[in-house]
Amino acid sequence: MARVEPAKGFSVARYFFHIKDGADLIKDQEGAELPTAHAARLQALLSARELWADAIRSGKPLGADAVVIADERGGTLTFVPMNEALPKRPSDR
Amino acid sequence: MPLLNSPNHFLASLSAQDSELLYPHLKSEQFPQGNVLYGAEDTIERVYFPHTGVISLVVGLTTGQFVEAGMLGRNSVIGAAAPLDGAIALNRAIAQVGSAGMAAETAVLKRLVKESETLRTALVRNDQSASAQTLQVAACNALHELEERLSRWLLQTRDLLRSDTLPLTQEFLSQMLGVQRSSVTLVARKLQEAGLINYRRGRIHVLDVEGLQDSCCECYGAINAHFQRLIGWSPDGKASERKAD
Repeated sequence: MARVEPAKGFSVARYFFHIKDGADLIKDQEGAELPTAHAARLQALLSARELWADAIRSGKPLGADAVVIADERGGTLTFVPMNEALPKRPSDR
Repeated sequence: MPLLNSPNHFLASLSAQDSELLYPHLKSEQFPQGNVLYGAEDTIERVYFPHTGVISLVVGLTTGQFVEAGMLGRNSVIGAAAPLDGAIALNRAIAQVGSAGMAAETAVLKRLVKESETLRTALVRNDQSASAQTLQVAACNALHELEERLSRWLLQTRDLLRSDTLPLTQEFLSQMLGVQRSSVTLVARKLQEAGLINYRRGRIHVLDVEGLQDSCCECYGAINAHFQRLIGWSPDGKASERKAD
């Protein structure tokens, strides 16, 4: 009988997406439930892309250096620097 | 006029005859926060006249995402077109903030509008005012910045609730405005630093109404101008005379 392994990295949890802006950390007070740490990372990337898009469209300063992913206990898991969310040129691949 | 003092603008604005006509058919109704009044393409069985709360008209996509196209409450009627042979819902209606009010069967109202031309006119105007709002919101969503849109949205919600405390999560706000939650986090922080609002988990306090008005786009005023012209409602005014050109 085939054993059913839990998907790797499977960890339904509440993730918090803080925004680092210079010395400031703008806290996400609510968080969002996501199935995996990977999903949380994709979410952070999407957020970063939209922050860029808003800044570019409005011509206002970008108010973020990175999207910081934290867990429920407040521990930082990882972060996505804003530059990572910029579109790549084909030659960069 | 049994409905003269109704908290619902539509009911309070009815003529004496229409008020007498409709009154016996009204029943109390409640929709806790998050309840769906009807989905797109549902048959609208009952027409709802909110006293309190906020009902959002939302458009769903196949991805599961949905975006708000307008909000109504004590100023309006939910499903006004249903008794006018438009009972198939065009969108989903959901209680954005828990709502209590009165409801009447669509079938009954359909009979009443045959008896009363003025009741029919009032429902048409209400339906038009809801459409006018969704048209304005389409332009707003396409062209205006999140800060302006969020400011408009907070002011509209505040007007419908008649309260400076808005029980809204950022999750919900981001869904309604069709943006990522981080974008709401950033803009809410900006409004907070400007002293316009205070945000705490799941709750927004409006601190400076004039400041928020300055920070919003023309759409807030435009939507209210539609309401004023079509149904004689303004956020600050008491139920005024219905304008029937």
